[in-house]
Amino acid sequence: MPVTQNGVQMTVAISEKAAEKIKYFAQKDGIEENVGVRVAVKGGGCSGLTYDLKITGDLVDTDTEKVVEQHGVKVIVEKKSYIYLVGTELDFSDGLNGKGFVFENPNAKKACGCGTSFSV
Amino acid sequence: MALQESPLQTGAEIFVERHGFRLPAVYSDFSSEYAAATTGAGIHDASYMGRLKATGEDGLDLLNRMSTNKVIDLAAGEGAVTVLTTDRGRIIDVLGVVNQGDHVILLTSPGRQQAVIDWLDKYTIMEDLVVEDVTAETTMLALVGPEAAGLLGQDSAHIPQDSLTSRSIELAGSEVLAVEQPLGSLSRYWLISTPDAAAGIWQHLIDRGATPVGATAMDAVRVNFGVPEYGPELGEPYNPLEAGLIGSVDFTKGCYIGQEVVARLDSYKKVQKYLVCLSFSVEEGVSPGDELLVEGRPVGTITSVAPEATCGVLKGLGYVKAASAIPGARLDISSLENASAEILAFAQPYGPAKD
Repeated sequence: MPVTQNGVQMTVAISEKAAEKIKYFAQKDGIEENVGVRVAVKGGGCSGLTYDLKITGDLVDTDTEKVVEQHGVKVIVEKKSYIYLVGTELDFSDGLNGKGFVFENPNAKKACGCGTSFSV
Repeated sequence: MALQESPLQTGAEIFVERHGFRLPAVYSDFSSEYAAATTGAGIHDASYMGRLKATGEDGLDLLNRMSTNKVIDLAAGEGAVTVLTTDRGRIIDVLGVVNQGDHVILLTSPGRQQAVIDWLDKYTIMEDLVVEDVTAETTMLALVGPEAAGLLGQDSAHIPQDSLTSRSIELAGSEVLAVEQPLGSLSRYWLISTPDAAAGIWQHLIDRGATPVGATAMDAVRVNFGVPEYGPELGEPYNPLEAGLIGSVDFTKGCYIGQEVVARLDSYKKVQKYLVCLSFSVEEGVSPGDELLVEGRPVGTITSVAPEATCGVLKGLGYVKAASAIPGARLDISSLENASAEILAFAQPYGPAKD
């Protein structure tokens, strides 16, 4: 069972649909082992902070990164970014009006129109 | 902040306090100093301007994500004016960003160094970036006027008003970083050196024909050439489009903090007021803070007034509501019954909107 604090899940999660998309893009990039996604937060974007997403097959650096594995995909979060992402679920929104990868981040007090930038 | 004496005070008898510095107000006389800066070459101690040194691989990348202009592609020696804005699109400061290859120099408004460092630091999460204030350990002279380039042995090629260029040159036996940054439509070079070299550079340029320019004439140049200053015209009460900084806004480069608000203001024509250049029908008696009126209704506020009239005309800057901000329009002045202000133009110190 995931650790929770004040009802917030103390980890970063990935939905099954997002995990399938990560695997799909990883396969297209020729990544077959250690399929994962590196998630980070950078300064910038309309609201101050922006998400950075990279599909990877590289191993985890446990000194600087935290890792959660769900649905066969490693979600790797750089430790400095972790405080902005605790409780976040990475989902995928498809279809004609879909936004692609979507972050459901409980820490975000405000987000910009395109959803890639937020403030805490 | 304690007053700091300008080291370059030879010949000055009247001083003013500006931005925590004690500066010569006038070296010789206002008219000849103003004429030198606008038709010849004037030399001014601008050490009160802020200078930051940003070191690390991600300096330009972070600045590009946090400010209005495109700075990510600046090659070594190139620079651009860009505006740090809040997520509500309000001005934190206007920066001159100059890529020096192994580091980036940021020129800030006077006294804004720590605010800029704090703002960048707040959003430096994973980035390789260290920003330090090097204002006190350097001196910065401003060589202003159409003859400035010639005095430095440089080509007088005009660069876009939102651009900067830099190169290392030798003056009076000292290494100087010469940063060209136009002052409105006027040529200007910032000369950055170690403090102990500044007096020699100052004298070297005077010997070659530059005229020392005090704070009073420099204020008049700034106002007459439509350049806003942090405090009266720039700061969090204003957004870059109101302040005439549209030339330093890149609407196609992608996201930065405040981009959504700035883009919406532009797309939907929602800018509420504009900074305009004004000329007054009287040569004295007008003050910053005076209201501008149309048929007795306030439509704007005067923000800066030139210290003295030039060529018989007193000029100023002010914010005027969009509906009344029409070049050629005459507005009444709240404090003066028989005086008026004419709107000369929109203040656009970094040029018009990019194509």
